[in-house]
Amino acid sequence: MKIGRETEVITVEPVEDPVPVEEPLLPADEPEPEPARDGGRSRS
Amino acid sequence: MVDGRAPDGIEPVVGWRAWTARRSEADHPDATWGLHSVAYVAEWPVGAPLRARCRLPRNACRDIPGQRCRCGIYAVNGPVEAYRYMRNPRRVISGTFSGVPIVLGEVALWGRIVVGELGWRGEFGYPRRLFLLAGSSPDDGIVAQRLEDYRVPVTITSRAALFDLHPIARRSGRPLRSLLKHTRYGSSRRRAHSDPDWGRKKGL
Repeated sequence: MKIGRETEVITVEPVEDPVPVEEPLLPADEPEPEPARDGGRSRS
Repeated sequence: MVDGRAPDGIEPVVGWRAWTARRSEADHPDATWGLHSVAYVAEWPVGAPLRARCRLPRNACRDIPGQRCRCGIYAVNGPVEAYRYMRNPRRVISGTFSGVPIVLGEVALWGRIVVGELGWRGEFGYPRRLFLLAGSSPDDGIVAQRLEDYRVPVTITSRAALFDLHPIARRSGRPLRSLLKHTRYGSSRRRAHSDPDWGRKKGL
């Protein structure tokens, strides 16, 4: 692969890992979210 | 921090390259699909960066990619340049990709990076977005699904659409995947299918 005239050497240390991680699975004993106090009606 | 020096960047360099997609075990029904470099025998691991190696036996580079060497993970400025490279049979392993899924895409490079006028040579690389060229595999849908193991977006697209929309995405700042998905694209795709000289006119 041609990248042309090489001009400089740099170092890059990403703050975020460029390798995507899998979504963490919720633990089995994750508490159920509390029901809304208004009986589940929309606030809007 | 490298050798006590602050890094020059904290965001990976993003370039384009070409891969082929191949099954790990051709006859196994649960075979996985992996990305392979076109110029060297190298399978890109899933969920881990590919680290460049220097292939010189005696004069191996201490720092990879070396400045007096050609080693490193290569990336270029755009999909057209990446595709041109794999179309040159002198530069690739097999010389032909008939029936082999062809994937173009963005790659993140980091670590030590040699910067060129047309691209980069990097120490570490991992795919960032993948575009499976439509019709390059017996079943694009299955191949694309398997490539999602890399946990990056995979889009099936025509070469014409990718090449035509990439400059627009670059100029406008809109994601290329979004343009491919939402643009009522068809003119150059039809042109590519109906005009046998489309590739030659594009210099491909």
